[in-house]
Amino acid sequence: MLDKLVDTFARFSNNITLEIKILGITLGFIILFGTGITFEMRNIVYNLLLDELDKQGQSIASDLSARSADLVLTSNDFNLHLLLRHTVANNDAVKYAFIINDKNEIVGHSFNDGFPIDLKDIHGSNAYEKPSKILVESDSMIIHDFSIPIIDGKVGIARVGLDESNVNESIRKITNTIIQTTLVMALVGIIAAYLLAHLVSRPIHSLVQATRKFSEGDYSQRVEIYSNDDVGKLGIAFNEMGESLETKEQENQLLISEVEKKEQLRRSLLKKVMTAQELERKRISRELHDETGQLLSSLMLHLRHIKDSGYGEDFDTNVENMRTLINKTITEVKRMSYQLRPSVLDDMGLISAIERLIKEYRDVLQIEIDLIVHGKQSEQRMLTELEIAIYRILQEALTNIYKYAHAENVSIILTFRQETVQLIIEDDGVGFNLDLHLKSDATDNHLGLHGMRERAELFNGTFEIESQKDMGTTIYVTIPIVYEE
Amino acid sequence: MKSKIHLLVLLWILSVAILMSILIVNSINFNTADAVPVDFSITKDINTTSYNQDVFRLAVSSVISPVETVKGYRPLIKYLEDKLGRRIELVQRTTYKEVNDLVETGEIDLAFICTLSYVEAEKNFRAKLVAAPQVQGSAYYRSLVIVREDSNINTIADLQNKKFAFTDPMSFSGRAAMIGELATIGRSPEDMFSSIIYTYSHDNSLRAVADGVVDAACIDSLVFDLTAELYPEITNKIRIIHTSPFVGNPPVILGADTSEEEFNMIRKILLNMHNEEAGRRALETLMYDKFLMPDNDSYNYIRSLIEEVRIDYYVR
Repeated sequence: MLDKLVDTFARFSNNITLEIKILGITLGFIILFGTGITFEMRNIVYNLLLDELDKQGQSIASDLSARSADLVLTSNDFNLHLLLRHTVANNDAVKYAFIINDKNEIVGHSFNDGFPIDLKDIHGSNAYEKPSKILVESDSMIIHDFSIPIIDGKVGIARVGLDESNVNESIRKITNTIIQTTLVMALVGIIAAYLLAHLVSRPIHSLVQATRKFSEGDYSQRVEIYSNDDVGKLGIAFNEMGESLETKEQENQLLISEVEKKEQLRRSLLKKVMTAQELERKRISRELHDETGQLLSSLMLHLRHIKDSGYGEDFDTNVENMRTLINKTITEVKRMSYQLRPSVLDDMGLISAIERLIKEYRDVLQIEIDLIVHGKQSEQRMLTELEIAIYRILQEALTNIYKYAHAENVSIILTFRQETVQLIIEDDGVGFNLDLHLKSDATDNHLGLHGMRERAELFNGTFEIESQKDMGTTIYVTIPIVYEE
Repeated sequence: MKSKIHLLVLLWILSVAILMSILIVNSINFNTADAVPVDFSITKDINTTSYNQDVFRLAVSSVISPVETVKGYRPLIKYLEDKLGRRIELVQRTTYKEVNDLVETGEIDLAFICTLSYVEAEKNFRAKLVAAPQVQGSAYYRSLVIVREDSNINTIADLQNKKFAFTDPMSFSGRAAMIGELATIGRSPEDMFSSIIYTYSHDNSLRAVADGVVDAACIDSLVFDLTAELYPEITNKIRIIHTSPFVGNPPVILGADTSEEEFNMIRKILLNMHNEEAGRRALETLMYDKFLMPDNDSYNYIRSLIEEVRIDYYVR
């Protein structure tokens, strides 16, 4: 049942704005307070004033009783009449006064239009013995009728009637005062509540607007902080969130552009790989056709010559020629095979392969190339693909030096560490503007560098290059070691 | 969260319930008496002067104040009612003159009046003297001139330019005796006193002197003695500076038209009162010993006084 009540209230209050809620609470409280106080005060004051009225009535009646005794006894009707008149005239609340003698006869009264006969005996027969009070209703007016015996009832009874007009007038004044105060309070409350509501809802409104902007993707929106309270804290948190979202957005943009660059590079690489593959096939095909094919055709010719001429004096010469040819063919096939994949890597390991590569380039380039190997290679062999990657990176670097650097000295340092292997290639060549080079699009011209990076990153390694115009170039490659299964 | 809301709602409901009960408790009207409806338009002229032939009407002059009179004469009235077999109505008037007028017109059957009133009534309409009381062994009384105990007035001559209180214009002890005394020194109240008030009873005059409202007054010696017995705190403040000659106690009279039979019956009842227990009690309340056959000559001093000095009864 409580749930239902809470739900109903929640449903009811859901569609009301914060301003109206605060206004409603304030007004409701003031009206409840005002009504309660008015009601209470009316009752309290009414009861108090009625008590006062009773005391007043008793006092007036007692006074009248004492003062009328001699006048009644001496039948001084005129002075009695004056006394009654004065009693009524001297107090607003007194509506009438009259005296009953010991024979239950009216001896004097203050009524202008004759004495109302029903009024005389309302106190009953005890009226001669003790004071009493009875409420009389007449013309929708309540009159408090007080009866006091004169000289213990031996002389008669003094009667006084007081109405509630004074009481009602006081009640009316009090009620009016409280209502006026309540109205002014309500006015003050409304203004204060509106101000409060505005102060509370203003940051919330700006928060709502800022959130909408965020939804639309504008993370630059910030809210003004008006206070240090809960809402203020929410605003601060919101701004902090905006800050971090904006940073994240910038990072995202950066990453996206990087990803796009990488994607472009990947495509270029793929294209290059395929082109290189086709070129390689073309070269192999040509070499097979031009070299190996020619040699085999030459062998065919020699074999036909031997068949035609039979065993003659040229036989040995021809065989010798054929042997030379076959030897040449084998050398040729071996060269092609080595070029396709240097078996030395598989057979003798990375360092020997590198040494051999350096020897080849040293021979070709006629420059000084040093190799320094730090650390000790593990007994276990590294993953073949990793070895190939290092080998190819070095090959590519040397090719670049050969093609562009015009270097005189090249230094290669290979360092084996616990977890990683580092390769440093340093030359004293012409160098190049690195920033310009990296920022330019990944064209074929720059694929060499990107290819090296790709190979390093493929094994979670890093690739760094330092270069300046006329200051040489240094390449740092660090790759975590992965061993063969 | 939910249980917190529940708690808040419960607290709220509880507070509303407390508020309501406070309002209800405070709004209960404990004056639960119902009002009696009275139609003020139904009226009737009140006539209290209706004369009832069956009622025996007894008048008492205001020697003492009306309230004290009611208390003092109640047992006597009760006694007379039993003896006469008729209801008795006690009639009082402010002045002695009014009582005399009522006796003259026959509206009063029996009257206890002052001595001077009697002398005038006998002279004017032949009122009949029925009896006179004996008080503390004496059938006589006199007028006393009283001042406050701390006053420096010691003689009649000291009363020059003082405030003086008379009781009633037609009182011997409360006025006429003083006028008589002043006449012997050739003065009248009007030129002797700075102001004169009428108190219309002897106990009022006593109180007026005791309270310092007036400087001096002349009063009935019977009332003084009675007050000295009942309220000594009043008479202790009083000093007597002069006394008049003794005259007979204030009498009981009947109108001239009263039949011989009724006259004798009433006289018999009164004179025999002290022989009965109920009668004695009634006499004791009035501080009377008994009723005596009156001596008409005991009022001669008053008769000679009003011969010599003209006394105006119509002052106020």
